Amino acid sequence: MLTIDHVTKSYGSFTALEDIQLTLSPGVYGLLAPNGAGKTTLMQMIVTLTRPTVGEILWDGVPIEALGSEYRARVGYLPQQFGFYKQYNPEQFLHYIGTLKGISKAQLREQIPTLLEEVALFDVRKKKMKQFSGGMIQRVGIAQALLGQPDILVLDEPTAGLDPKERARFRSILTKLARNRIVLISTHIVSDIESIANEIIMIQNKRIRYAHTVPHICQSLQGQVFEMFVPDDRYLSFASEHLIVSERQQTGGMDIRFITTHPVQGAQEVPPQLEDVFLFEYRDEVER
Amino acid sequence: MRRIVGQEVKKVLSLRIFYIFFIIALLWNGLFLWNNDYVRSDVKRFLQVNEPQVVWTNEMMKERQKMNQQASEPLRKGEMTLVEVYRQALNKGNVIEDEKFLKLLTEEVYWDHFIALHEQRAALQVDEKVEQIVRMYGLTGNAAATLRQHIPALEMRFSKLIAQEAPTHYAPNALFSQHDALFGKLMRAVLMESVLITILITALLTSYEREHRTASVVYSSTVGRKVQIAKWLSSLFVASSTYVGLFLLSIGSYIALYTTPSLWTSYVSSSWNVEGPNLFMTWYPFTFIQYVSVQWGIGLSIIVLVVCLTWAISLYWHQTYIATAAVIAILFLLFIVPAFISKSSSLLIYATYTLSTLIVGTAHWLMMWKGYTLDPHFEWKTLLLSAIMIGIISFYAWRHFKRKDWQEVE
Repeated sequence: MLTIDHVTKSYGSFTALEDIQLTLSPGVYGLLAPNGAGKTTLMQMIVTLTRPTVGEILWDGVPIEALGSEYRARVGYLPQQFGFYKQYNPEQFLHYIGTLKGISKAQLREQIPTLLEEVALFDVRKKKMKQFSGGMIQRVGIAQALLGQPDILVLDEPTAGLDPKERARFRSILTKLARNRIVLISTHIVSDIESIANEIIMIQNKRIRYAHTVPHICQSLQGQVFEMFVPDDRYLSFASEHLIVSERQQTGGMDIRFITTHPVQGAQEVPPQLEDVFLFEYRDEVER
Repeated sequence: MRRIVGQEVKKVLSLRIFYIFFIIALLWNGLFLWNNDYVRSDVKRFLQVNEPQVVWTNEMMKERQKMNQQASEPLRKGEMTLVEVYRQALNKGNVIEDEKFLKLLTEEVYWDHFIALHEQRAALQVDEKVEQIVRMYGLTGNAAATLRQHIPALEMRFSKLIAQEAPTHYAPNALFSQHDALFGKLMRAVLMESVLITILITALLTSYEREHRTASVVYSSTVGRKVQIAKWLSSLFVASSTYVGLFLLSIGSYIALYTTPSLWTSYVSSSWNVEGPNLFMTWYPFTFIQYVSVQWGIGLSIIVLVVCLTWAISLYWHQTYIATAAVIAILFLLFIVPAFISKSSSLLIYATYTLSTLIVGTAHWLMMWKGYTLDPHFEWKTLLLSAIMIGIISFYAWRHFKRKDWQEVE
């Protein structure tokens, strides 16, 4: 179990995160927040790249700083900006990372081909990574995070650069993995985690806004999400009065999905989704 | 850790720039050997004769053949000395072709000349020599006094040297005008090349993760930031190997081509080792091969210290070229600082106890007459002091690196 115990992170006079309290047990956790909210900072503290200014992070009750390499051996991390060695092929790169993770040569010989198959890179395992596309590089990043079968998988924007087919494959990999491990994913693509996350963590104003299941979070907007057709000549005035979460062009107007506390004539109430909550909670940041 | 060190070494060995610099260094050293006219002509003559025949092949011998000073009983042919016989024949326009005679004559002249040099050396006054050095550098006050305090040690060593090492002799195809060529120019080149390559590869390896944006992944792995210890060990291994390689290929080639086994066991402080005003007298009774080994050892120590300094600087500045420039700037500053110190201050003398002075002054390692410092313990004091300073810098650099929040810089 990973416990984030009253953690605050400050950089000089600037506070990035304040009094974060979380307990993570095996399962998938989606970390949702706009850019600059502190998602990466939280992830970097979990993987020991940065230290909390106040509070501590514990693994099974023991501070991770005290555990040191014993803790890091249980962690797999994919950063938001995943770097690589251009002159290496994916096999060599995974071998290097595996060596840093303390995985034996014999285990690496088993794991690397399997992982490369999982991320559909087995056929290009001998090709230098400088010839890879962004999506292929990202898949190498996912593979290296999975090396050593870590207990804690921290993935910062893992689906960035992946096409829909690859994202579907990725979701399938994660679902299999999450049975026995903690998987923490940060993403802007709500649909990537909505279906697989056991719990969603939303950060707002440097603090945890929500840390709960999708249905529970969506409950907060129950009775406030509507859909209706708005003619083109009314669209602008409508948009200025209501928070629009999505729109689809039709002949003569738009099918609008919007959030409001006051019922609108002609609008049909619909069950709230996670994306609705995201856009509602972060509407000020989005406008900015 | 061993596997990680192996992986880091592979990184360096996969860099083209490493091989480019190494080959340039070898070519430069090869060019030096080839362009050293004296040595080349000497080699041709040397290759014509066999060991153990002692043949005087030095250009200076031609000049010294005109000297009449003979300290030992000269060899005679009848009433005349061999030299007199030879001269008489020349005067009559005759050419003596008797090989045995010519061999004896050569050895006679060789011996006479050796005795003359030895007596000249023995007549040296240590305190006068020290004053000469003081005047040459314009030293006054405490600076001059600091040099003069070495006179007793110099006198003690000098008297032993004259009694034991200076009288020795060896196959004379080698050391005239070669001490500076071998231990000065070539060794200095080898050391400077090795230092430059060392700085570059150490800075490159230490900054590698930041420059490839892999630091987040690497530092969050099991080994964590201790990967930098592996990089330090790898740098030591590659830098030392580079230095040994350059040393063996350059200095080794020189020794294999231009020296003979009889030289190897002769004293460096022998009377033959004179180049103009330069007196190459060592503080300790080193033979030629022992002195070569000492050169190798001191050079290797310098390389190790340069690795540590560069590694420490790179932990602060994770950028290869900035760190490289910073280390080179530090070495340059250490070299020029004495120029800004008063010539009457003893600080001027102590300011020369730097790695830079060692790197530039390879011909004078463990030599008695080496300019600013006449200190018999100059080399090890400099290495020890440098090791302490670099050790402190490295300790704080490592501590700073371990504690720093790591964030990839865009």
